[in-house]
Amino acid sequence: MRPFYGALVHLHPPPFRREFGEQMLSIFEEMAADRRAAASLCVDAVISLARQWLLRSGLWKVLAAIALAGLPFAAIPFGAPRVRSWAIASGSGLQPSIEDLVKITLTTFGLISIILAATVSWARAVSNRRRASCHWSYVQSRSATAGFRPSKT
Amino acid sequence: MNARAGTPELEGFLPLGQAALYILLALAGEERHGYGIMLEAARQSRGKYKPGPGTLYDNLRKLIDQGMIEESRRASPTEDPRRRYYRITAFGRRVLAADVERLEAVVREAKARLRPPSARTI
Repeated sequence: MRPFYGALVHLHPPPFRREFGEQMLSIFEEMAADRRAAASLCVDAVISLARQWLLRSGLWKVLAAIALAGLPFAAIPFGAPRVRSWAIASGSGLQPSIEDLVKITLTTFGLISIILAATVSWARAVSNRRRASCHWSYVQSRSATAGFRPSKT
Repeated sequence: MNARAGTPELEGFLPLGQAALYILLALAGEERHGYGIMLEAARQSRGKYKPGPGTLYDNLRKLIDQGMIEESRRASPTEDPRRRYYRITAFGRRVLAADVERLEAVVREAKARLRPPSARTI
């Protein structure tokens, strides 16, 4: 089971694998004598793999954006849509077809979703910066009382 | 000790998640390597919480980023050289103390409410 676990660890995102991969293998070797424990470690590694790629690496945002942006193309049957915009439709006095309305609605929905994902991402980055700054001001205040000034790097 | 008094900056970190709480508790006594943290978390929870390495290192990464723990040293020559030791920082200790205080308040409240009606004072 060691090669299988090694492969699971190897499939983790490179930064995580470089930092913790060897330690994960070390723990596996420590516990591998118990077959049930080894199996549960493999399950943990599969869950960790999904977590690191889908949540921590930000891949989910890319996948969600691609899926939402592709919705209009997937929803409309081949060859059916005519290229007409609201401006052309209203300017020429033509009524937009149901297909056009669906296309416009889904495109708008896709764009809003992308903007929403970007906003959430930005808000999380700001929140993380604020937390780090809180920690840093705490470190500085403690260091001032201890008589030395730490470097931020 | 009132760890939360005058420290609004800690509020953003509370409540601690289950994994973060057990990791900080495991490191509160002494520095430990990953496997040591896993064993200590299992011991402290009386076997009810056994984080795997994936969960453990994901949370260690978060706690390091938040400045609550830090890597202390590499393994000694007699140990597996891949091991790394971690220790709690002063900031991590303050966050842990604040969360323990929060939990104490929860326990106090729960005990008061779960007391048999006859024992309650009106």
